[in-house]
Amino acid sequence: MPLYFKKALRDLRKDLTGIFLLIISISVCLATMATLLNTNKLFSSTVQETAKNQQDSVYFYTNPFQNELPDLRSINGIQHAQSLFQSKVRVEFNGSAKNFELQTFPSYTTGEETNHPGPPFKPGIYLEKTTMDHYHLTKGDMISVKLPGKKQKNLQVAGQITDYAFIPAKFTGLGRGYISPESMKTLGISSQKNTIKITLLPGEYKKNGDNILQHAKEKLKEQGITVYRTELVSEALTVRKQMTDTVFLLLIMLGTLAVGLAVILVIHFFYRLTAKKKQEMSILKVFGAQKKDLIWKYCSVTLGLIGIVIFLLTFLISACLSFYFSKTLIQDLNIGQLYFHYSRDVLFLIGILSFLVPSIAALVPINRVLKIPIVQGLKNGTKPYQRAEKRDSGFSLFLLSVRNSCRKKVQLLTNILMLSFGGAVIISCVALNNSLTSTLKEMQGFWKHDMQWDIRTQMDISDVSRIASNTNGVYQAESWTGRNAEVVLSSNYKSANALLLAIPRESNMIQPIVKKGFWLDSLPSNSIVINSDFQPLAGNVQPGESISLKIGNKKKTWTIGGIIQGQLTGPSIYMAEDDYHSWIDGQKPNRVIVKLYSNAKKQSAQTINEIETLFNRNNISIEAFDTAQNMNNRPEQIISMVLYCLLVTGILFSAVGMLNLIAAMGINVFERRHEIGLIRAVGGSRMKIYQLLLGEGLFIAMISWGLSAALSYPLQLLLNDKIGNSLINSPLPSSFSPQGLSLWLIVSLALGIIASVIPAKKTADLPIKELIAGK
Amino acid sequence: MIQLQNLSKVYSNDAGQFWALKDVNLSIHKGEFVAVIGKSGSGKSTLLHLLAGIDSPTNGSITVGGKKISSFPQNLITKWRCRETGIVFQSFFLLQTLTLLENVMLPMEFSRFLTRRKRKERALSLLKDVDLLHKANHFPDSVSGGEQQRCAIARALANDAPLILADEPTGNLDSENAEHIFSLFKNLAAQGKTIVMVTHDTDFSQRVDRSLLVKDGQISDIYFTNEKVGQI
Repeated sequence: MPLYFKKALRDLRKDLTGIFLLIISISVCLATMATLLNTNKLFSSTVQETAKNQQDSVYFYTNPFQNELPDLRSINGIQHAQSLFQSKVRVEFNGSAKNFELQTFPSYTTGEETNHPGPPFKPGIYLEKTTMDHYHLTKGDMISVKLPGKKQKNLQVAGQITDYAFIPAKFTGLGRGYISPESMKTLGISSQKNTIKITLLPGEYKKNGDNILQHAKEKLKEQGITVYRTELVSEALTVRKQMTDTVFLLLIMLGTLAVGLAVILVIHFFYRLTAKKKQEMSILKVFGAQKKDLIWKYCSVTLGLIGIVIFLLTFLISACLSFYFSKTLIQDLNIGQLYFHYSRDVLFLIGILSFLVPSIAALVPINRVLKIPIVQGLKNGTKPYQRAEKRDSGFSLFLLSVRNSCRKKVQLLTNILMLSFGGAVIISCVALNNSLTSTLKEMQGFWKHDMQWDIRTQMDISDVSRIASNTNGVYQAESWTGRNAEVVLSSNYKSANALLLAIPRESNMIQPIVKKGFWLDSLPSNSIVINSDFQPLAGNVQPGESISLKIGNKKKTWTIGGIIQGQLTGPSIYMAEDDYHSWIDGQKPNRVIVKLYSNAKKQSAQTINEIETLFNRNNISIEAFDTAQNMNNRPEQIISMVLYCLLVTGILFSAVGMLNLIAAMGINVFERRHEIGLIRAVGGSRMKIYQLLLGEGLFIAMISWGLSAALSYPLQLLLNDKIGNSLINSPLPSSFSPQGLSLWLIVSLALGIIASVIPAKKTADLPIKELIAGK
Repeated sequence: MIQLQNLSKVYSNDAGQFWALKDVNLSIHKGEFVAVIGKSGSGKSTLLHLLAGIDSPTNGSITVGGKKISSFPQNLITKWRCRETGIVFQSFFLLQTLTLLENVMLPMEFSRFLTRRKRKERALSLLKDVDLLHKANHFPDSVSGGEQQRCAIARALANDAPLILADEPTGNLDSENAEHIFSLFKNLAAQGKTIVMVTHDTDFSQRVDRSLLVKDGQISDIYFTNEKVGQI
């Protein structure tokens, strides 16, 4: 084995602790970055795979019809067309009622239903996988299904269906079940249909989708079937992907910061390690080693070995973490089937960085050490304290601590920088948490009612409201109409879906945060209010601009009167009920909103029972029931997922910073044991040594805390902007976080103390003779 | 062999300028064993460092073997030092993570002297000469100071350099070990090597071909084997 190889191995063994810390620091930073990149890749490839399997399928939601479908396959580009029945139902199990969406199986199998049992279907009901998981249901369980206006029937859970187009129940509060035509009979449903699923030939949607679907709609219209809403199956997937993409982008940006942090750390460590080798390098130079020998032979082997270990560690850590994170994310969001692999691009990147980061970082200190004159290097001398004179201002031990810290400027700077980065992320995370919490509170203040029912009725608005109002405990009740509206975009064929809510103009059941313009009560007729989620749909429309809305065959142009903050419910339009009814004739209310007296909230179950009994008595069919509390809790699910990711990143950064400060202080004390020995020899007690080193640790901790506070501000603005735009299509309000600052101050001080006390104890316990000898 | 002309070395710091050597003129012949003596801070080590090319003069020139090394660029001086000199320090300066054998092989690797196998053979032979063959695979920490210095001498001889420079080679050793080291130098001188040795030991300084007394940065006296012949 060549001499330089042997020497590199032995040197590594000799500096094992320092090298170990160095490797761990870089590996953790690189692994954080690699985990994010690989998870993002896995997530994207899963989405792509699922989208490919879903083909170009479109749902047409229509008026109820019983007749057979016209031959839509005669239209060029359409592969399949099948009529289905779909309805909201209430499902009871384990003593509580939940809202479900019930759908019949299509008679043909498409790729999206990967676990589609295919005919013949077992009797009973099949449930969507995430629905089963969320409600802890298993195959064989009995559940009661109640269709609006029908009798409640018991059905057995016959199996599980995987449907990646479905947004999980925990985010929407809506489960999904599938039934066979036979089971439809058990539930008392006629052969009525209200949905058409159309599958286009591969690639046709992109090429000519709008025209094909328009032809299909026209053909259906000839048969008396009106399409009210068009929904591309992949839309549901895109919504989830867009949100996670932004979060990934943000985390990858933080990961890049982590790599920057790693470079600083490594420069710092190499500086410390090479500084220790000053004398050895000078000896090598005396005996003929050229600069290229020292760099290429002796340093490259060390760097090569370090690089290999970093690469392997980074690969292992990031492979495990990205498997865990992508599995959790893909399962939680119901995106598809995870086929785990390690991206070749990411592998290549970490391969390069594992060697490049230590090499670049080592070049600076090695170059500096190599430039030291041989004579100075042989003496292992340090540079003299630069200031020739100092004004007499008395002496304190803290002054010595500050001078000692400032003497090694590069070390001081890197120590401070590594702590500041981690601290800034933690402070920003706490501030982001505050911003999100306050935004969430504002959102939760949006709905002022306590509960709501989705209903079907032939009664008028005033009658339905009166029925609900006359119930014991009800303070106020209103009847609204909520339905889908198509937003007509540039051409007549291009459209996007939005939820339209027609409510009383003076309703106090909604308390919106108006961002621009006005709320309905201050607007003239033919004006609408949109939420911030709607804005990007129609090309960042502003108050005063006009847009066309379409429901069925009815199309009308409206003026945007105001924009309110989104509620994580997707694009929504708010319209005064008088405007709505002058546009759509004969439309009956389909939502009842109830506010209870505050003293009646404890007995809400009784009030719910009474209202539902009254509804049944008056032939008002119930499709779904929800409480405002549940509606408010759902955004928390999404927000907590984002915060969790950010906090993990912040904690990782800080852990690396903390670890390195402790190590740096340890090496610092080790290098100065001669000076410590002298202080003790001239009468300094062990306590004085503790004071001296504590002073240094606290000095660094305090400066890094100040810098963290300053750095956290721009970082917080960035996080607020990205997360806010991703979640609610507007930046989150910036909030000052005294908790974050205090938390990091406490952590910094504790860290300064820990980083000083441990090496101080080790050093103070050594005999003075050994300390002076520098052993 | 060595010619020093008007050689000066000045160090500067906040306290001002300090003349470590001032206008030194000196000739050393091939095969001579020269001792450099003087008090601490007189400039002995500076003189040796300048001869070895590990420090550069402020003024004047150094010519060794007909080559004006004081005007060599850094990479050339490194090559020259490697092939033409062998250096022994008071603190031995052995590399702690290399065995005694590997320490001796190291200068040969830098100068690409001999083949790899031959280098090992030569290193073992040199260690045998200094009576350390049985400890060839020991690390420096596990041998005595005297043994470390013997190994350092073997290392200085590795490239078969004609000039051996020694900076207080016996300064850290007891009298028995010091005597052993000195006898090794005597043998080398007998083999034709030129030796310049900085020492505090008056006994050794009287047993060399010539002694130079350095005082306040100048060579003030030259002695030839116990006999004062003149003053500069």
